[in-house]
Amino acid sequence: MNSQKIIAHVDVNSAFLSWTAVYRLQILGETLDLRTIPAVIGGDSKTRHGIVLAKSEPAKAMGVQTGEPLYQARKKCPYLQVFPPDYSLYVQASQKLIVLLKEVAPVVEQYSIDEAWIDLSGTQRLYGPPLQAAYQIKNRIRDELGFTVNIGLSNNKILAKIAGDFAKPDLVHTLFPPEIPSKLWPLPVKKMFQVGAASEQKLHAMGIFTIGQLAHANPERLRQALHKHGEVLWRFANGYGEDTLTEQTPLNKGYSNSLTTAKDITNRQDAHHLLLSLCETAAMRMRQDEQSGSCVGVFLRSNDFRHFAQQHQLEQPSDSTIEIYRQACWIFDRLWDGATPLRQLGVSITKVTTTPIRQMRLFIQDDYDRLAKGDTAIDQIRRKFGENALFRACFLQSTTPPLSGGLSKERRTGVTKPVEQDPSLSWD
Amino acid sequence: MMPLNKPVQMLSLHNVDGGLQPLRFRYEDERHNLHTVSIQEILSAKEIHYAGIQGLQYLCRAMVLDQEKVFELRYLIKSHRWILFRIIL
Repeated sequence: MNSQKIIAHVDVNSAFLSWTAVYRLQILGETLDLRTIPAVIGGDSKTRHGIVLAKSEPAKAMGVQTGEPLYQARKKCPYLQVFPPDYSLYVQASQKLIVLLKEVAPVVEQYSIDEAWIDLSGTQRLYGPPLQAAYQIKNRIRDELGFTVNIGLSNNKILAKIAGDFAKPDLVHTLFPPEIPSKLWPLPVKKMFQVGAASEQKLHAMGIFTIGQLAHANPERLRQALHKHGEVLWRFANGYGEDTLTEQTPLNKGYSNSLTTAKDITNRQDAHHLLLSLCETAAMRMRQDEQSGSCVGVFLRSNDFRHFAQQHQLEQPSDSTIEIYRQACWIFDRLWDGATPLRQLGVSITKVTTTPIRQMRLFIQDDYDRLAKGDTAIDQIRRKFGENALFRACFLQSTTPPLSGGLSKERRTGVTKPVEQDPSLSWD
Repeated sequence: MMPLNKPVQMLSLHNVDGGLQPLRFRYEDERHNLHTVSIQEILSAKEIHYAGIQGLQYLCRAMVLDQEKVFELRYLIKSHRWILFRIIL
């Protein structure tokens, strides 16, 4: 069956920047196309969120990278123009893209705000050969929505995604299994899907520099060096991958929230406050998915950008804000020296399960059932009357927002997680 | 061609089938004079979705100060606004 599936990966070229550019051209009626000048979408430097979120091709040519601080980008490119992000616009554009894709393909799996896989198997009679279909879709998106996409074609998701990354913008690439040795294997391992800086370093240490070397490496050796991930990478390099698309998003494997504060945190009480508000957000999200986690982690970033992290196992899985908060504070107190100014704090909950079984305890500190009831009630009130309808009294006098981390309200829907389609947005 | 992107007052016709037809619009020039333009012919009409924002685009022919011009008018569905996007000819 594998050889018959045709999977296409659709990826918006510098999504945030393209969407802002199209908005300025087509709705504000400006003449300057941001995609043709060195420009970036950047966070607000005043609240210290000043990093590059998306870059134009001319900016990329000058070495600007996504995720780097704006001052660093400006050093590389003195005439760099910075534009603020508009998340509601991005969500709208993304939803329209998905609506269009759903119109042309029977199965669409949204991977992120600007990426999706579509299954084109069996559409030959409708659109002609896959390559022709991909060009049609690409051009239709460009003409109707105004932004350009890259489409990668192959027999499975991974190869399609890698193909879409070859050269940009506004192009269609194929990477069918017979093309792997010529197109994929000469590339450096860094280009491989899911190879980050850490994996790259480990692979380099093993003498693996190209994807071809990775594909020919002994999977057992890779597993020893990179554990399960090594085997996954080996499979990807050889072109094995999933070829069935799922329209429903899988449950999270973990929940984490972090906040970069506008001013450094220097005392324990403020830090604990912030931890509590982060725990509230993370635990609330977890409860919404009806999951419980048993491993709590805290990560810190000091004002000189050093990173500290530690995690600790709970005695049993929990979804209670207070339980997670207590654990987080305990970890934090062990992790922090009490003096280093902190610019970012984060809380993560991992090892999640959907069916928590509470072990009864003899010497119990809290009545867990009561806590759970309290959390449920709080969640319900917040869902009905808004997130600020109810908050803990300790936040009354504090400058910390009662719910921290994650995305602000307008950003939350659909930026990190695909959102459900708004029925009013349908095409006709 | 510089886009004008000028908001205009519009008289339009809503058909029973949901179709929308611009008839006559009024805009203000730099010297704050009002001009009323009667549309003589709609050359083309289509739905647009630039950056995911839904709208209708009309290319229309009309006489302005004894000169025949082609306008691009846009109706933005979410904000219910008519815009004189540009004068083409």
